[in-house]
Amino acid sequence: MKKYRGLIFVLPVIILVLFIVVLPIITMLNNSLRDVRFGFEKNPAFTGLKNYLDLLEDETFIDSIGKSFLWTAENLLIQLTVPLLLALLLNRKGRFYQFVRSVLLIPWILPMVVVSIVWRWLLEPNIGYVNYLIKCLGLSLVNFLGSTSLAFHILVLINSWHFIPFGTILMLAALSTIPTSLYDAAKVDGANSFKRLIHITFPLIGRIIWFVGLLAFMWSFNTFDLIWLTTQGGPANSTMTLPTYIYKLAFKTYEAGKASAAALISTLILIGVAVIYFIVFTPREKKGVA
Amino acid sequence: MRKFVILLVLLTVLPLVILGTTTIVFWHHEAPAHRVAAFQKIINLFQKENPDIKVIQQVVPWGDAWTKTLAAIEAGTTPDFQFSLPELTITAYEANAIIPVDDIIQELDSKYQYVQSQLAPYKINGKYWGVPIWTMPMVLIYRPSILEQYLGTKEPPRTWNELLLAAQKITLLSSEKGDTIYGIGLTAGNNLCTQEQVYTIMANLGVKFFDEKGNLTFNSPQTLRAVEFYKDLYMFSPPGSTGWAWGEIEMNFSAGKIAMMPYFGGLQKRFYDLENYDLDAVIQPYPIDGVKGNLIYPNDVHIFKSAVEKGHLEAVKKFLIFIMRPDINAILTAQMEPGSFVPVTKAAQESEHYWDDPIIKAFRHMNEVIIEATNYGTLYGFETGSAVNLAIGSISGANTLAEMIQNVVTNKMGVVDAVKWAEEKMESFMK
Repeated sequence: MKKYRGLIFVLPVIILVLFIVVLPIITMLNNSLRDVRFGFEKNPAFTGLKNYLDLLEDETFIDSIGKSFLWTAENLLIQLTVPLLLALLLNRKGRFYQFVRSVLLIPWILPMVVVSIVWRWLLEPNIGYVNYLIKCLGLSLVNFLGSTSLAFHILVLINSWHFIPFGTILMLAALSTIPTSLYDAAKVDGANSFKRLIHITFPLIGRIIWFVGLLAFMWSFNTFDLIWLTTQGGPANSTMTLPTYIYKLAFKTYEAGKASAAALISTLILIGVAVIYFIVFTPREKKGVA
Repeated sequence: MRKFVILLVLLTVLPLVILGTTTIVFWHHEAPAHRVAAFQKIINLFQKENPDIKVIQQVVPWGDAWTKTLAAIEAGTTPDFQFSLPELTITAYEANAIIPVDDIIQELDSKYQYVQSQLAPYKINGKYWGVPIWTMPMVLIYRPSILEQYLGTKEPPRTWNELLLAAQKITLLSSEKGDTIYGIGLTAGNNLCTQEQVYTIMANLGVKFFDEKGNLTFNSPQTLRAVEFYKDLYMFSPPGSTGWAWGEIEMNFSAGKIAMMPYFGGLQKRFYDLENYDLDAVIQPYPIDGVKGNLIYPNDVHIFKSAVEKGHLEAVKKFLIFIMRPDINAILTAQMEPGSFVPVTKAAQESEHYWDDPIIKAFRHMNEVIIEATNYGTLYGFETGSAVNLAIGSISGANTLAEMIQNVVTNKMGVVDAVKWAEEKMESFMK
């Protein structure tokens, strides 16, 4: 009995994972190989790889994969650099910095539904506040979410605006663990602030940067709510990323089989990229360094 | 504690058993509190007249309507009946979960005389599968004061040419004065709102999605002309409208940034609350060689097979006949969403209960126009008088029309290519 005690303790979690992860993936795989419209049909016809082949011929799907990668890359770029810069700026003692750190959290605590609606209204070209300010400056109105060339990047900015506080707090926490004696010693040795950043700060918060990067990648790739609530993938599919397109296939055009195939491809892409990320970017401790 | 629970159950169930009460359950998707209250009001009135029937409303928001309906069908837990739309009724029909309602339609038609255009979307294979309860016609709503200021008259445009010229004149003149008012409000967002506005323009040329046999006839000279006109008119719509949905267009119109727009009449409640009566409507302008036409969205009730299995059919029928009584129907239309939800029977349309509502009365002319529009209205995919191709549910759900218009107004495609693209997309749903 003692031998199985560990197994017994983890059994509830295993069962939970089976139900909420493994079973849906199996159902998704099964649906992707059948002619399923709604997902509830009894004994739908087996169609083999037809859904996958259809997807490969579907321009919007192929385009949405590219958009998802671009979306993730742009988000990662902002969500790694800005929090790091902000953390370096705010890693100081004093009431002012404490206040700024608290205020900074506001976007993060807002639900994405609120964020989407608030930004939609702020960016509205005719009665939105942002364009009102632009008009006050004597500039011409900007069609932020209605422009095929702008909408995508504006959504990246909104998504990053929501994530930045979280990344900053994590990086601030990491910075606060670096002993000040290391900086003092470096100063004595004549290291300037840039050298201290490169040789002390970066190596010591490397794991946190890696972790923030991983979270930013996964959350960004899977972003759905913001896009759906602001542009629904438009205008002219310019913001149609993979999760948005999968939702549209499943719940708007009732092509559950095709949506399952797309979701499975999306899962495989995510797993693939995550594996690469782990192999290539995982910080390794140098030999001889404690 | 156990005894108390048993006693409570007995006290609840026994009177129902002794009195022989039938409990019927319906789903609707109108989540706002005032709509739920209106439903409860008619339930209370019905139960007062029919103490042997208990009616329970359950709200399933529109966003969940399809998935929950299908899940309930699969699990065998459907309610007795459900308030619905043509696409949802088609879905329930395809899932073999509902029963024909020809007898109810016949009875209501003989009593209150249905506006025939409202029945078309519910006729499938020669039978009716939904009982229309209210409808939503699109008309050209406008701000008379803006028309007067820039056109020198409160008289609205009646033809496509007049509409285009009026929209152009208002936009250009207001721009010269630095007012930034746009002549027309058209959306091109990837949503139902766009779809409905586009179709209203198409209806002016009698565009048909399918022929009587269900073959696709979308890519026609009429469609090309309608899309071309939408594109021309869109030049005088606010620049951000490529991303607009209901909220933005309503807010811009209310803020006086838009002079005219094809829309439903529901904004009159907001104007009434603000004591602003600068709002009127006209039948959607049409080309001189075109037809009076606009989009209508009749809402229905369909009855699940489970109502028959549970022996609830008669109680359900009684309730449906009750809510179509003109005095009761006025609660579901004039009181619930004045100007937006409109009666579908001649008797209810002429009823004093409808016209005595303070908001309906305050915008009487506008509502007369809206009522008139119910006669010319059609819904995409049902132009031939019945549901001839059930792929229309997916075509509509995918916002195919909206996507087509986005492609045109963002110059991603020319009109010919966009219409061709839309037809190919529709064909893929038919497969």
